[in-house]
Amino acid sequence: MGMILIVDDSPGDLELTSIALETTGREVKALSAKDGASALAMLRKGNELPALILLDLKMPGISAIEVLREIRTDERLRELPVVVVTSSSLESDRTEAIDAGANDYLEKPLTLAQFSKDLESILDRWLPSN
Amino acid sequence: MRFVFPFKGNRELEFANKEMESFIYSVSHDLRGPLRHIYGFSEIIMKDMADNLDEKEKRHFSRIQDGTEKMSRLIDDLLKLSRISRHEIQRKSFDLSEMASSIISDLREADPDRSVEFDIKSGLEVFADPGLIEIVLSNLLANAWMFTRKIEHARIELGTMDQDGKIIYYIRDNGAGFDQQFAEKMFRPFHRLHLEEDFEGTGIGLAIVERIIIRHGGEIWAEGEVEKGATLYFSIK
Repeated sequence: MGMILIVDDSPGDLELTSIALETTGREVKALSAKDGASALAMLRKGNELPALILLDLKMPGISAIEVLREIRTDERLRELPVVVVTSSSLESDRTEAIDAGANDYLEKPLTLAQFSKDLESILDRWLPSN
Repeated sequence: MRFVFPFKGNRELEFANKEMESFIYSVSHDLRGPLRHIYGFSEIIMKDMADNLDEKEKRHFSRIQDGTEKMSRLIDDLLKLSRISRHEIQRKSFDLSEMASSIISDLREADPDRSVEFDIKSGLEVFADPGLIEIVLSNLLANAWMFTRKIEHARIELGTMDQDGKIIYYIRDNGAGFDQQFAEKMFRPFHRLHLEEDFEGTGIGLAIVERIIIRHGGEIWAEGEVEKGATLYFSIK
């Protein structure tokens, strides 16, 4: 079972992302962190690393870009696949995320049904054996 | 949308407009989150309670979702409008007629059951930003396509005329048309001349088109008559 860490400051988005992941029918276990600092703390303390991180772009405190840079410079975490998930349709946000080391980028759609489909494609790409 | 603040110099005005544009951009993005929650959680409740909802309750849920979808489209369009102002114009020569033909192919493909006669003047070379002009043509041709939907022998024309040595491009259709006294209002953001149940849309398309034409130093205006069709004229400097 693949473990997925969802990092999002919005409780509503955390819940919707977990439900959308469940709806994909894939066997994944979702963990959540409400901001960048707790995500980094979880990753650094945890014995088991997630198979994938879904990282919200706009969060208070440590930004997603800083979280990405921390991950990419940490010997133990640097290879983790990170998908930046956001409401932003700005091309510059996508470029900044990819430049900072994001493996993929997902614009959150309006409907849960579409979100689940999008996440399924993400899982196909980053957790193919799951 | 252009925000005008009284008694300010041009540079201040430009700055204020830019500030307002970026405010619109960030607010629009921040609105998307709560909207997604309304839609997503109503989807969940509707699914969980599917067996216990009567027709009236299902209809009420649909109203929530329709409203949310509409607001989402409005936000997307507002973002498009604000993006046009931030886009740096990059002019090059290209064939407007070819661009129109490709847009028409897309329209036909999306709605293959429609039979519409097109008359596209060939070889119209322009020197403009192709990406932006494609938005202009797409909007105008899609409007003509939509407003001729109820016409049996629909006809859409792309042509040019000479006005004091200046080339004026026009797109003419024989569709629903409009009352000429409202001709200027149609370029205002979110202003619609038809009922949404008759013709869909958010009312932002022509505001975007006008903004692109103005950014090219051109002009745009419209002529129409109810049930007799519409003609949209534009120039590019």
